[in-house]
Amino acid sequence: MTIRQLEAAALFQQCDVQDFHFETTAQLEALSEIVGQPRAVEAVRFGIGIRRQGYNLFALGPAGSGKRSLVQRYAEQQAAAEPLPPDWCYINNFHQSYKPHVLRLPAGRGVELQQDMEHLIDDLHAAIPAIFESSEYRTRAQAIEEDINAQHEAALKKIQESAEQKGINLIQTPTGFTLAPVRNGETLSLEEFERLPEEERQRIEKDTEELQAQLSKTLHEAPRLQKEGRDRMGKLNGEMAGATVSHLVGVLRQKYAALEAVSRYLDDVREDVINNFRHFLHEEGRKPALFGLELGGQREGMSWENRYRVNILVSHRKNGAAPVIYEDQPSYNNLIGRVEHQAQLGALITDFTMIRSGALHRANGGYLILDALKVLMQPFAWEGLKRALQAGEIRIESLAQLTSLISTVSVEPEPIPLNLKVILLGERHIYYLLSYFDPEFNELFKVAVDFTDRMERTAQTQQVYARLIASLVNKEKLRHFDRSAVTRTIEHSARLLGDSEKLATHMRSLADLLREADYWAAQRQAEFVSREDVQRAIDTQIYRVDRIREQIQEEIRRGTLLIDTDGSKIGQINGLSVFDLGNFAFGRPARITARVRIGDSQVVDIEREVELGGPIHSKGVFILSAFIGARYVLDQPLALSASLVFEQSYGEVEGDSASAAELFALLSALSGLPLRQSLAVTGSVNQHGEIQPIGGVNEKIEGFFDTCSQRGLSGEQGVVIPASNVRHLMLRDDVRAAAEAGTFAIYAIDTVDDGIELLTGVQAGERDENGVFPEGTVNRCVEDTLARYAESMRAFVSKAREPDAAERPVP
Amino acid sequence: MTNALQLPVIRRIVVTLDTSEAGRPGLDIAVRLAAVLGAELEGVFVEDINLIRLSGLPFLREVRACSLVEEVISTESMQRDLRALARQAERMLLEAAQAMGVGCSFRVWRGSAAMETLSTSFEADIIVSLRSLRLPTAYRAMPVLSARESAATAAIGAINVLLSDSPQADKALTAACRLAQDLGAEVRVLLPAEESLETSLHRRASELLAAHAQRASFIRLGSDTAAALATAMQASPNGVLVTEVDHPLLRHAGLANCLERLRCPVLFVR
Repeated sequence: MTIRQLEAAALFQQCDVQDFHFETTAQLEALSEIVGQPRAVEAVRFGIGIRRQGYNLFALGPAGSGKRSLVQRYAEQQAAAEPLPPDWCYINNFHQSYKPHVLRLPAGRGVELQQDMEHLIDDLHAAIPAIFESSEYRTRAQAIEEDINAQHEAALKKIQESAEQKGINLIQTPTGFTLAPVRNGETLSLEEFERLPEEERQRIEKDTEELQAQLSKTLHEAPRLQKEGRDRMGKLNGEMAGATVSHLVGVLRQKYAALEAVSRYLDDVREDVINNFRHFLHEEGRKPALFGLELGGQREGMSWENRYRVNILVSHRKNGAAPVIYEDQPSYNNLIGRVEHQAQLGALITDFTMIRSGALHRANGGYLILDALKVLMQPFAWEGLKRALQAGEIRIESLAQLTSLISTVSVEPEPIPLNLKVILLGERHIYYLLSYFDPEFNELFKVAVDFTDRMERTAQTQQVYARLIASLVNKEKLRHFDRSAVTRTIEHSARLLGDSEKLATHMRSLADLLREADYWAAQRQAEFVSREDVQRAIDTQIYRVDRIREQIQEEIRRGTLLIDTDGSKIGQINGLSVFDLGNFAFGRPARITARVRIGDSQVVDIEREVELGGPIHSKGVFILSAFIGARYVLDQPLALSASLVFEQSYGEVEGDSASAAELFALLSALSGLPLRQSLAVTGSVNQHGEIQPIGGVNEKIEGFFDTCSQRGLSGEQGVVIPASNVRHLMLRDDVRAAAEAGTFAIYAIDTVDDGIELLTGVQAGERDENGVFPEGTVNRCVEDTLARYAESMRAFVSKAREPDAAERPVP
Repeated sequence: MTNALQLPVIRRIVVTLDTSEAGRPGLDIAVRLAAVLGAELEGVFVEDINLIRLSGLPFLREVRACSLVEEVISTESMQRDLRALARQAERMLLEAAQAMGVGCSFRVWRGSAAMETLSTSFEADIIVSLRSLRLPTAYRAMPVLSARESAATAAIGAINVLLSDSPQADKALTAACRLAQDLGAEVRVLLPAEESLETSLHRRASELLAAHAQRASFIRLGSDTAAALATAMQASPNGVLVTEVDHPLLRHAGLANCLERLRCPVLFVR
């Protein structure tokens, strides 16, 4: 028998003000290291330090545990010591414009080149028209034109002269040329011609035919002359443009002589501008228009100004550090980059200047921090990220192209080599799911940075925790906390975990508490935050979210929810359950009842039957069934049919923390011994009858305390908990005060027998040397009942086997 | 030239229409001049009588300038082609006049295209003509480049005035000054080689130029006037020639040929 009624001191592990030798946190040195995460810190150092493919990091732990702060801090420290990554630009591919080239430049040179190219475009717009308006060009062009025209006119003149000698004239018609006989400057009409002698007419016709042949031959020379003229003009144009362009581009080429890729690009620019110099002539009035809309004079979807522009994808300041980027919205496009399009008269056009960078580009050469859940929830983002990491390059492809949804003219930018560390942040279950279901995940994210939510609570760590509070106070620029406030914060930290021997490392919760305590201190215009401010912050946090708890307690008080807190009843016990609302959990009592009768060794869990019981709860019921089967009437079959139910429970019941209570209710029903209704029970049970620890012990005790206190504490009331849960107790002040006053008790038990004795006031009883439980004990009563059931069952079966049994009605 | 300094009035301008691109500057000049002077504009499409006459000859063939196709000429096809050209000419005239806000009339005139005939056939203060040889398209499409490529939109070069001592010379110079002021163009006065005539023309021209507040340069032509004129006009790209309708040199066959070769708009002032 190891029933212990706990002293008030055991219900709460107080943090003693005397343990601290400062007055306020202003006197404390801020922490330079992360507290309570030695495993995570080690992993981050390793993961950031190792430079091998696949050694990306996954920081796993609950939200608000400081994952991002820690990894960002270490990444920034490392990045400051790393070389600055290069600038990346996209430039036009003059041979295949849909496949833009990528240009790698030393940090800071990207912007410089972009500005130089803008200036070059301006210069070309000024210089090329000027050269073609120059006197030299016009004179030379005119000379070529006149020369060509003169050749043609000379040929026509030769025919004209030859014709004139024969009385024939070369005449221009509306659409060409002809030859006609003339007399005295007048063309002969048909009548005049017919009046000529036959011989003369024949001569004229013959001469005309010969001249016609010459004329035709001369005019057929036109294409050759045309080509010659074009060639000569083309050569002149190229010569004039080439001189201008070569000079302007040459200046830049000299400036970027040390950068081979830029030199090659500038050579391409020079060649292309010379080939297309016409586009730098004045465009006014020459742009095509449709319905008043200017079409822009574009070719292949790209304006001529854009053709020579530099699209800076990523640029860095010359004296900056390697980038550490956190992408808050990690969609596919935001990660990988995208190619934008512009709608023009119903068509979507694009070019290399509309390529936009993604987070991978910006973080290239450094570190990229992403929220794993956000990445997974964005369509194709996870696949895109993995593909980039596997390939070691960033290849921008639109989603439409990837999914083959749209077939439109787009660009295929040259991929950019990728060299960065990706750090994913996420809850543990995401890490485990990815690790289990995605075979590529373990290849790409080899370093797990596991954040714990707790640290040991010792005198030493409490001092460190005080410095952590001081660090957060400084960081958040809050009022400093006095010693009492620090101790209350530490106590609350232990309560958050439901463990008096641990301290929570959940930074968000701690920071929230500090901020809110500061607020209440400000409300009372205090210089420092005191214990009362912290307590008020805790109380108001709870008050803001405990509406449901209040309603449940009210319904218990009004008798809508049936809970007895005094007297005794057979087969009925107060269990305790916890409602977890995410950011707030509370306990409440729940009536559990058990009914028994002769049957075929079956304990019916009604919650399970109606599919309101979770698997762990069902497991608990099976365990207690096994316990009964293994402890009682060992030489006879177990002819028991029992049912267990959580009364007035309309939602799912999960967990095995009520299995001890259910067992006590069942034993009460079998023994016929009533159970004390002034007690509530929590704890799970194993097949050997040992009581095992459960979660939420503080909330459960406080839940039953609230029910009892609103009815008035009788001094008989209390809660039975597993002894192994005593170390978890961090109960409220009012519960501790009631325990100290003896109006409310907490009992710690180790076994089923401890519990049943406490609840019935009757000894549990142990088998004697004959294997028999002592008369009058709980166990004897139970065994007698089960033996009686077995006997009745045997008699029933014997009767059923008699010959006329089949004809008898079944009872 | 007249002795008294009375600025002549120009009320009516006739322009002979050529639908080819080469003929377009002539129309543009005529329209602008009509706008500047507030004169009435008449476009005339000349159906050359010689073309009608030759179309009856059965053995004649025409070589098309662009397609180089040879076809037998018929009266019907010739008349049809001329009608089509006339419609094009009318459309060009209307568009050009409308663009400048100038009122105009149009008519088709059948006769000789020679200037002597035209000058006696039309009552006009100025006759604008651009006689051009319609060369095959290939030559006109020569890829000469400049910021002002199009003939239609080309800026007018200098206004060249060829003067004589006839009374119409004042009108010619007045028209040249008004046109130059409107276009912001330079005026070049072309003087004959004869010394006595040159001196008197120089004086009179100076007075008129002063009256119009117009600066000008004077160029003395050589003894071979036709050749000298050709040289002077070659030195004046996109230039315009202004002269009197009955200038004695016009009767010079060489000059007429020269004008055709120059392919520049000529303003004949009556």
